[in-house]
Amino acid sequence: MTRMKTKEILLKEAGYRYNFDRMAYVNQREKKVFAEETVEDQTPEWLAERIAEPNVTGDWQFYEEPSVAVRRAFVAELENGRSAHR
Amino acid sequence: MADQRTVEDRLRSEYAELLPTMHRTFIAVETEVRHMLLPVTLSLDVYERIIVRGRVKDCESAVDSLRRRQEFGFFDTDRPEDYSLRSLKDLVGVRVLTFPNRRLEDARKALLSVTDRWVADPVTGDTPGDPPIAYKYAGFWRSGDLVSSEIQVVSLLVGLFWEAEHSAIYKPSPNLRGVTKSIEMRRKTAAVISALREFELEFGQLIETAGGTDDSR
Repeated sequence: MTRMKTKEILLKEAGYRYNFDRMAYVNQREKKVFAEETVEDQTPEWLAERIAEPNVTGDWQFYEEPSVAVRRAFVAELENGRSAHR
Repeated sequence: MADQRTVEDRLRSEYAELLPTMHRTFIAVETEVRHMLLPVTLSLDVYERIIVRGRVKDCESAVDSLRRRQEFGFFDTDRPEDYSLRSLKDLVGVRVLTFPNRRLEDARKALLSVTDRWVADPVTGDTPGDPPIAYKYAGFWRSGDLVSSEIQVVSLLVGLFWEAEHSAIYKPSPNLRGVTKSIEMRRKTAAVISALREFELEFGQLIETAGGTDDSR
């Protein structure tokens, strides 16, 4: 099995959905975000560890923290998505 | 007074300023590429193709292309001055489509006097060791040029697949471009490219084995 296929399965089984507009894997329940580039660059082992760790920040957790303005805009979009899905 | 324009509006304004330059560069690049390919083009067999296509990237595509290169596809509104369309490598683009496979190398070599000085950025497949899917080169046609140009050399079938994909999906809905970056779609795309390349290779080999085509039939 290829490394990318392994990562795809890890993300899917953990409840991550691909947000094609933001090119990121998002878990709305855990409030965690992986950029597509991060997923591509890192190993499946690295990804599995980060998926398993709990989000204790009380906020959205980004692996590869964006700038303040980008975080603000993305979180607003994610929060709108959450209320739309409720 | 502070500039109240959005990042996108600033970029649209920059596009309008760059447009005459882009058109001049496009005419120069396309004409010279055709000229450099002329010896190969004149030697083609009847079933062989070398097709040159070019374009100046349109305004909204350029703005969207730059946006998609930013963190999570957002412009940082706190730093609008950081962005310039001149950072795009393909504001002017010329694509050379070749058939069959052996003509890909001929075309690539014919352009070397220019592309050797440019930055090579080949499109690689997912399987290590496979030859590039396409050769891409970016650079300035003349040293004083304001915009970068891109020359691509790609097999006819793969190039036409990209064109069909672009005009059927991304042109009407640019936001769907990110779909291709997903792991699932990358696997599907790789399968299509692989099938097209195999088809092309087999086709080329069969024709060569048969000694080409007979024009008089």
